[in-house]
Amino acid sequence: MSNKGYLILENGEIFTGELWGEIEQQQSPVAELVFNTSMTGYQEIITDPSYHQQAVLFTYPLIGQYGVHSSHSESDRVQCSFVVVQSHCYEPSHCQSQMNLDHFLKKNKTMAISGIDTRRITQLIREKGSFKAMIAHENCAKEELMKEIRKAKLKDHVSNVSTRSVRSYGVEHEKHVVLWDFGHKKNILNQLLAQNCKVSVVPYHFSAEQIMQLCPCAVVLSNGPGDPTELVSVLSEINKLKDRQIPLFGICLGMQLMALAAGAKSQKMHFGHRGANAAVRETLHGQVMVTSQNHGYEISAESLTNPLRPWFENVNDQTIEGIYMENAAYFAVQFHPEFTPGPKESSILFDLLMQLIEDKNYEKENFGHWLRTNSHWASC
Amino acid sequence: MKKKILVIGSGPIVIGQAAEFDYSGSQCLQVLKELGHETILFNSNPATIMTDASFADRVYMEPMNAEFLKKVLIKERPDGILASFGGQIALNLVKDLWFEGFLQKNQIEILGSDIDSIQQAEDRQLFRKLMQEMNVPVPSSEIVNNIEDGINAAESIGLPVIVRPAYTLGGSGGGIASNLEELKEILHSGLEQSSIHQCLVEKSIAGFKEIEYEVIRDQYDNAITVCNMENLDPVGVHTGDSIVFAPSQTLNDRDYHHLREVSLAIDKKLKVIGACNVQLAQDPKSSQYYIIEVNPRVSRSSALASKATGFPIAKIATYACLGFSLDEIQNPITQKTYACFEPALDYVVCKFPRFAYDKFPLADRALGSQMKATGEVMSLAGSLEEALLKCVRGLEQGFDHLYCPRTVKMSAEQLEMAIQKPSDLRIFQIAQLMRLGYLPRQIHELTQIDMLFLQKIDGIIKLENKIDLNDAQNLWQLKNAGFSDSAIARLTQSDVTKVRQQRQHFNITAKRKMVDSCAAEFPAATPYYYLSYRGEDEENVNCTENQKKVLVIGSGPIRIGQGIEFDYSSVHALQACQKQGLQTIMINNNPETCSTDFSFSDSLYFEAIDAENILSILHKEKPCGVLVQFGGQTAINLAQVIEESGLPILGTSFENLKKSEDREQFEHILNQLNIARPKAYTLGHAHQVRDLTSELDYPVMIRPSYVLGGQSMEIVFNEQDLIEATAELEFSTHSPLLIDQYIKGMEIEVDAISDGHDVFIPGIMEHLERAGVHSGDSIALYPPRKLYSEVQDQVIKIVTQLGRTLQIKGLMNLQFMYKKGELYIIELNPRASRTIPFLTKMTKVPISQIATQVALGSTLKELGYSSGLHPYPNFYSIKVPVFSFEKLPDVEPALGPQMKSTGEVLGRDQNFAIALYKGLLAQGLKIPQAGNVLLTISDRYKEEVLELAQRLSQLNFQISATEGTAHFLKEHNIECTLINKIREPAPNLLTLLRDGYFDIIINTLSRGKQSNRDGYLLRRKAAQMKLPFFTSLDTAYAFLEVLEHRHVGVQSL
Repeated sequence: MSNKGYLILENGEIFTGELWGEIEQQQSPVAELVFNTSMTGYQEIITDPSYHQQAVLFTYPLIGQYGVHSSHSESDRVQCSFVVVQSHCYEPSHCQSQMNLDHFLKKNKTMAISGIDTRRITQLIREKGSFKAMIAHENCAKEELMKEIRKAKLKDHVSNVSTRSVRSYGVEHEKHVVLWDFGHKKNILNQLLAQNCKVSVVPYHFSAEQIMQLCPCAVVLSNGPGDPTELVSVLSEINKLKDRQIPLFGICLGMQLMALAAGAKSQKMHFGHRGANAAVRETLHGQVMVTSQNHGYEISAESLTNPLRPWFENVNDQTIEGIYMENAAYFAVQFHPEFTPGPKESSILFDLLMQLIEDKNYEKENFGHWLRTNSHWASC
Repeated sequence: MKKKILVIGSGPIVIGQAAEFDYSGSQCLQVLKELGHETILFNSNPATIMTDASFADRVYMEPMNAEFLKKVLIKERPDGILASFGGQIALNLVKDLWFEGFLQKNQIEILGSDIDSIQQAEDRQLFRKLMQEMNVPVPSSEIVNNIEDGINAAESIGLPVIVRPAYTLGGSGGGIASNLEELKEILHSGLEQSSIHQCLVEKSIAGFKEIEYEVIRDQYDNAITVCNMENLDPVGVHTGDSIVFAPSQTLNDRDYHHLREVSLAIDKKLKVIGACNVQLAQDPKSSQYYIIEVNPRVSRSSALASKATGFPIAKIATYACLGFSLDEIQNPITQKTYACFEPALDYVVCKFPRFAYDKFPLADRALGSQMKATGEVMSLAGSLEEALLKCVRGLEQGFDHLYCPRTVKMSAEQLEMAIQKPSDLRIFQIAQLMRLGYLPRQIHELTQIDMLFLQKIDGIIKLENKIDLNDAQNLWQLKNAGFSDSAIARLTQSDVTKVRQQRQHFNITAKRKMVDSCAAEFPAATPYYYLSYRGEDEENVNCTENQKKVLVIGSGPIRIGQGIEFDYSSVHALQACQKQGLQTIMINNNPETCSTDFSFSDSLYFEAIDAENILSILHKEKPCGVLVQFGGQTAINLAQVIEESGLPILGTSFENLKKSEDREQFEHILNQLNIARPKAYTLGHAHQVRDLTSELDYPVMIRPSYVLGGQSMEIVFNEQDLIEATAELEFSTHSPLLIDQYIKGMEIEVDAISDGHDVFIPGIMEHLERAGVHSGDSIALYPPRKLYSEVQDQVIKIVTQLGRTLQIKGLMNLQFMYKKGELYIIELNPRASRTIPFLTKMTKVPISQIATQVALGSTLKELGYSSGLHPYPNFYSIKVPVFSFEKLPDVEPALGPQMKSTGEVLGRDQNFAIALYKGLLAQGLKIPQAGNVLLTISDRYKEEVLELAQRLSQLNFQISATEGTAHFLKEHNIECTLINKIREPAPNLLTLLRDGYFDIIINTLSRGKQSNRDGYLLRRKAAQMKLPFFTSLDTAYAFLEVLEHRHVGVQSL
């Protein structure tokens, strides 16, 4: 049987390519097609739960050259619905490679397509915004599938990827951080463990009360897939935690939820930020960092109201990349300080969190002042 | 605030410091100008774009040493000085002036990184200390100042070791030593070439992956990496000689970002402002890495990274040096994003070095830590295979594929042996072994080249066996893997046209793809393109409807014989077209140059300059014409293809180009016009040589036809030599062997512009050396010094006649020989020449621009020029060649008909001797006031040397000579010391030379095998020690004039 297949887009365009990865199935799930411009990190990207119900198109044309290693996954499975590449490599070369990407996708029952003009589709997404798509074997009934794509509703993102029960790690450590799981990347957990924290990963539907029962010294709201407005119930719990004066640190979706909880508005972006090269500016000190990003929603700058303030901004399009509360230990970033894939420099935010936990002297009502005068930034 | 800023260029092109600094420097000057600063440029290289009057407010083309720089600084009193755009030369100069206290005393600020940063990055000891402080691993090493310490160091570190001399260009004098013998030899040359007599003896990490990061930082400590690169050749081959890919190909995300983080940390620790290049080694078997070195300035790699990503590093670095922060500088390629953005590529980039072995077929081709490449090509492609094959095609060495006829002849055993030592041919040998069935794994074991690269090469070889011209899918696959039409034709015993037609029949055509630095995430405004077979054509963003377009063909990689001068003319052609309101399209594949800077043309195609690509572009862009006369022989050679495509060649027609290039047709015209020419013969078969030997009038010059820079040219003096010399040459009726009568006279060179009716001559140059020395290697004088005015009139007459008869429309370059009342024409090239930039600057006549306008249809009259010679200025301008012999350890340094120089410098003054003095100083010659002169002169020249010896004696130089010459001098009452020959007991010629006894060497080539071999050793040694040495008596006499002019004697009362 031939491996010829199609990439079918919501707008009716169809691209022909070669199927690989899982090829037993006739068609992939319908997903929102997004592009990522990272040149390395394909394994980390496709296993990132934020890509749940999305399909990843890599703009870099050669994917799979260094293979796959079990410890490089950001979750225990491939999370995206399918993968689109220009070409992929069957014979990877790296001392850490355990298998090729094709094999990894097969194991994870994820379909992929190659031989696609990925640049063309990237331009389409850039011009028209992201859209739904699927891949299917050439024998498929294209018209039917097109209808299926248009009909498909992508929802319940977070409930599919969040942990079902509380899991604790690094129990020997004293500092206890709750990682509120909306679909967290493993490296958030690893970064916290590297800071000698005990980490409890809790389900997205946990209440403030349930979290407080764990007696954490801080709560980290993780990244995750989908539209933050789908998670209305979480917002009030965030506010309760804030009122309990526990430090809250949000990443990506976590930041969006914290912004919404503080009254800001989110909106779907035209096509989002996904890559490992976006520069953000810390507006309190002017320092610029290159960051790893993956988000399709943004917090609108105009919707921020006191005491919620902008903290980081994107150098290129000036979108909000970080927020903080003037009068509470409440801060969050849109990018991924836990990196993998991508640049490491923003991982100092985990240091900042630890500093905050350990700083006994700061005045809780004056968090803004603490941030502005923080020696960590001043030293940059 | 407006400032007065002095920029230091990089001087002449030598191996290790090439056109990349013209590109970087011109970008820097453009930014300074845009910002309204007053600019002063200090650069001795007349061939560069940056020394054009339009780039700086004032240009000083003076010798690049501290003395002259100080003179300029005192005269101009700038506020600041920018030294990080002119390579190592510029950095060294500014360091000298700083340590001397000159800059501080005169309150001249160093813009960009301060001296401490530079010092810490470059001084190996300081650098190691800093790395240790940061816990960054460096291979264990010791710094040594003498051979003995070097040996001790190597013993404690353990062989093999790598020896790296401090402060040299392109790793001159360094190398890997696996035994004591090698170690001693390398230490010796390394210490000698280091300006501070210091070497680093370092643990060899050969076999590691070699990785580079290009970092850019501003003074507010914002820093990004623009690009990383990975060498195909593991550590051990100089990165300038390696095949390089961008981005890295075998690093995973953790490796990539780990090394990136290290690079940024080092850059920040060093506080480099602007560009910085960080070289690292990654163990392929573990996560161990080492830092190799850091260059705190723009470099060859930063030029490459700029072209590879579209991110103009030198421009952004200039802003950073002026105090801008990265997040406020706009990225010119998107005009939407900021410089604080790490480019994302959606293609693969390959860089391939270009070597000069076609000129030096007998030289050692082994590659090591000392750079040997003269230039490079780059390609952008959708696959690694395509990128690699595009580069191979673009080298202009006759390759259309990973297929080299001379490796095909080798046996498997020979190939196995050969690939264990890196050389320029290794990749072809590997391909050949794979054809013989060797597996990538086996080759990996012999070469340590990463399996990924070997698998890809193997993939190419496997495709060779599966070609089916009737299978569209197969053909598409081949084109995607980078197979050229001509390779497909060869592999299927078909012909190129058929392959092309078949391709077009299947609708498999090259598509225009854009380079935008952001993988299409943002719309880009810059028309920077490459060709690929995947997907669809992208829109040409700069294409306005109804505007006429002109294609300018560039000159490819820099090699001996075709250097940066042709890039200069290409850029001028672009400028002239733009002034006429035409849209310009440029094709070139040399990442070092200005012509491949997307801001110089309206559309840039970064592609190999070959028939296939030209046809693709013509088909796509449908220009109203093509300019072939500016890109050197590379461009002219494509005239036929363009003619056949039906699109007009602008300027001189194809028919007339052919008339001037084809010997028979040209000779016919000369006969008609009664113009003398040295007797010439065209031979298509080896047996014709024997038939001819007896009737020739010796000496004769032999050369294969259609060559650049006198490739394989030789002068032979008798029948025996002729038979020997021709035995090694391959020639056929298709590319015949040419034999010319050799006339020992004065050589004259002319550049002219003709519109077919009027012929305007910007200048006539006289070559200081008599015929026999390649025009590119001789010292050129403008205006001529010894040329009689009646001969000059005759030259003008002939040039005018030929311009009219051949209907030249545009440029023509002619060479003449004058001897005893007879003027002979040697050759006519209907194209730009090596001397155009020099003459343009000295005459202030924009030669290439006028020629472009003429080619586009204007007449000289309309442009305000008329027939005849442009008036001479009242000063002498002297173009002096610069050689890279110390980088090419076994190349014969004697001057001859084969071109050997890599660059040129200028000397200029009203007084001839001062002009020449400056030229020689700029060339890098040490000019002694007194000392010992060694004369070893062959019989043929002994009479001529007498006066030279006498005059040297009068200047109080002590003459030394070997037996024959000494005897002859004594016979003529010239006092001299007899020196033992090389094979005689010490102290002999070589030991004395090594000990620094001689200050000047004058040595002429002799014919005997043994004496020639001794002479060679002497010349090599002198070249390495950078002593003034002369193999032509003409140069020696001119040098004498300089000495006499500089001489201030003493006399008793």
